[in-house]
Amino acid sequence: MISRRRKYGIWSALFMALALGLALAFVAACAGAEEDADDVEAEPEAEQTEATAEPTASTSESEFEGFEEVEVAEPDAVAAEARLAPDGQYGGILRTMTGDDPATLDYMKIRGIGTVQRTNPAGNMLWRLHPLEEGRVLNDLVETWEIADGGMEYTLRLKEGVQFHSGSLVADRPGAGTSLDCADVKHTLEKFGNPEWSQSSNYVYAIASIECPSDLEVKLVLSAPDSGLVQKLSVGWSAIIPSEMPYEDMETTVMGTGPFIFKEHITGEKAVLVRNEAYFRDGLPYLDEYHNFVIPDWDAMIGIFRSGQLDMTSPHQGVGPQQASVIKESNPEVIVDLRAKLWWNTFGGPLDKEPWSDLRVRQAFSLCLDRVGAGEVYTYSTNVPGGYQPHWTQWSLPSEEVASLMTLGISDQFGANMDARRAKARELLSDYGGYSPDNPLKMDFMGDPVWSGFAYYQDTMSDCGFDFQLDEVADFSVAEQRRIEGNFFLGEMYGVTGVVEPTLIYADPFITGGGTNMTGYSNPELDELYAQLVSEADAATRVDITHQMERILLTDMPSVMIYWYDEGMAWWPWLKNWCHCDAGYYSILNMEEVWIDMDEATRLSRPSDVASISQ
Amino acid sequence: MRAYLFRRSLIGLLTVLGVATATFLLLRIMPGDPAVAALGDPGKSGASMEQVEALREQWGLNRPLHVQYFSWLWGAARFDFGESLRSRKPVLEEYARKLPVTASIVILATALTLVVAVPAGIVSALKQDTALDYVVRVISLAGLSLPSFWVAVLIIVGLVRYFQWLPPIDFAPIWEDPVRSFKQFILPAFAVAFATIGMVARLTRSAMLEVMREDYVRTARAKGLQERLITYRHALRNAILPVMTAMGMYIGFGIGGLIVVEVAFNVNGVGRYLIAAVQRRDYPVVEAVTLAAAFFIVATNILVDVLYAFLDPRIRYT
Repeated sequence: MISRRRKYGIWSALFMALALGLALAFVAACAGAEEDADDVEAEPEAEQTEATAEPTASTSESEFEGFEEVEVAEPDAVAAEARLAPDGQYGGILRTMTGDDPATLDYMKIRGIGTVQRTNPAGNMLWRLHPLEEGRVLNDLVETWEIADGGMEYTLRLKEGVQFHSGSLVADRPGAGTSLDCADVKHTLEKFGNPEWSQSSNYVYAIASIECPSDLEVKLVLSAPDSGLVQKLSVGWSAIIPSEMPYEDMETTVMGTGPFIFKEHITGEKAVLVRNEAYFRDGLPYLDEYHNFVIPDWDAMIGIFRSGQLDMTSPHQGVGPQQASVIKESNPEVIVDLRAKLWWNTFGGPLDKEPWSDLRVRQAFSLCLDRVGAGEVYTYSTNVPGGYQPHWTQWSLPSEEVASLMTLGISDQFGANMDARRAKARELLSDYGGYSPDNPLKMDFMGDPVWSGFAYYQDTMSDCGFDFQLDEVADFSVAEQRRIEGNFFLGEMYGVTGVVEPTLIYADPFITGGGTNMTGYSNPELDELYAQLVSEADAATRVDITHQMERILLTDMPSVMIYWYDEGMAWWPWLKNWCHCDAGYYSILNMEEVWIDMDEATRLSRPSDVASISQ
Repeated sequence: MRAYLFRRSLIGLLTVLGVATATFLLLRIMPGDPAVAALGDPGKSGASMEQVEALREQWGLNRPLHVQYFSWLWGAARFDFGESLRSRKPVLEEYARKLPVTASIVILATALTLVVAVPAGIVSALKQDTALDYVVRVISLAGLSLPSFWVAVLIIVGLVRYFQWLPPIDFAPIWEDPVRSFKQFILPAFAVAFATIGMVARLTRSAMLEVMREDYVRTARAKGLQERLITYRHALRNAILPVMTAMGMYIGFGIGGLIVVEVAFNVNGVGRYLIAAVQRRDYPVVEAVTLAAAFFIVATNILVDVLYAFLDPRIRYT
């Protein structure tokens, strides 16, 4: 006879064994992911090559039907081609995500991802960017255009019959159902060029006046030629609004001519846009609806994506090598692309506040910053240290010169001579205020409390005499707002470069009064060179001017460049015509040519309750 | 009964008012305020005191405390909880969108608890010291030992890794699409209910064991009553009373556990709404959500009291 106590002991032991088994299975599951990550660490290049192999095929000319004939065709013809190309049924709801609620719906005022990705499908710009060719533009709302008077006058002919959104969803929004005319363009560009209402006012600073010779004719008179004007008016945050819309209404209302009508944004949940049946490009868009979810936890996002409930991760972000290998291991059919080079990261603070205002502190910071080490820790060395201009373009200085300028001539390689660099950094901090590792310079570092980067930089830069204190900001949009208002001492800054045009990259963060000039940097010499760069048409001369500007910035270091961020994204193969194109970032986001292949979706078991077919 | 209900409702109302007042005061005593959360601490961020003060003025935070309090209370009495400082949308509108989500999970979790825990506790008591009893006890202990968020993480990792499946992320009200709603909420509900199931099963078991040893049960057996009737008519009706009390309390605790489960499952319910509001020091949202939570907990407890009268004829409220 077994005693009760013993029986209980036996059952407890059995349960413990079961629990241990479950725990081991869980650890094994996690270890699997770790092993995947280790594989990536061991052979980052091989993994990246593998990850990029598929999307190349998926975005090839043959599959990317929307722009198959783009070499010779005008956009409407391209759209017509796209309309004919997909075979089968269209419709369905495209589901993607962003990590945060938009701080505002006014895409001119705050151009954060949360705002742009949720409002771009509702708008059209004057021009749009070619998704496959950097720097090339296509007409969007403009039918024809010509430049006269040595680049001082642009005359645009707008497309006829384009209407702003109409119907019950937008009945109470200003300008609903009105036709596009010159007054709308004038109203939009006046907001776009006003720093009070726009982060991008420097884009159009050369426009002296906007005239309306007729309803569909717009005349832009410039104070100086601007060779990048058309590119700058092709970005997603220059979408045209109706003249009836008060500027302040853009905080909460979205109105445009685009392929999708903005229905609603539900806080913490999602933004919903529905097909604009009256879209001026016949037959487009293919999708019924576009849903952009709020998923703050990126690990949860990867899980949700893998379950097929998201058709794509956040466009151009959210997937690094580690996530890529996890996805590919369990879902080999998913397309993972890590080749985007859009993002750049810097550290900076307001230049009117100590200690960032002192050049010696900024130099010491730059010297002490191990950019290669940080890249190894965070992204398996897929980031590329570089200057302010994209490192893969002619606009960038040679890598050796950039490294040399960043390290005051100590090294012409980013990760080399760290001991000598730290010694020089200590010397500079000592000279600035007698600071040393024993008597460190305390700096409040604005960051997310769960951001692991803080601990890394706090640890690695203490050797030079820096002592970072975390200034906690958990909310991304609050951090963005504080950066804009200059309410911080030191923080991470980042940007996205969807158009490789040097004036566009400099206009906001570095030119006096720029909309994202969060350091408050102002250098008359740089401003003068910028004005020259804007007006200059000769390519070689533009490269030369850009290089001069790079040298000034890398010497002054208003914000200290860390690296260009090679982040990627993933999407399921049933999503067609999606182009993970750096060049056309702001145009492809309007999703008008994207469609869902229902046969493919069925074959790959896309959850049936997220799909719907309208025709 | 009516007098009792009136009295209990009045006490409940005072309790809710007390919670609301405490929340209101605690939020204002806590370090940091919405203006600082938005602009940064003037000492650290470099925002000027003037900027912080201007924002406080704009949001009405510079008014005397009693003015703020009565103004908020008057609004709350009219179901006007103001606007979220973050989204600038009416709190009631946002809350009304999130309440069905959380309510679905709470209702499912409660149903799961009742359906699983009570029978398990009864069986465990009736089959005391058998293999079945040990299984129930060990699983109950596991439920009590594992926090909800950990159960949620285990579920998510297991589902994604081995089945590439997760509950739908898009909210579907039960009255529109019951199947989809069930698929969406059953796992978060299970994560929340697991601990409650453990507690209620153990409580039911011990209550049943105690009752089964009572004289009146022995008398019933001596009368020759069927064991089924003894169990359900005599024993269970008495044993269930403490279980009901505990259920009322655990529903309240469950709402607390929901916060992390909603984050883990990316469910856009009241819990996630509250967490985000606390992070942003979004006073109107925190105050409204806490008030509503207090109301529901008090209401549940009154409901449990009323149920007592139906379950036990000896109880008469006067």
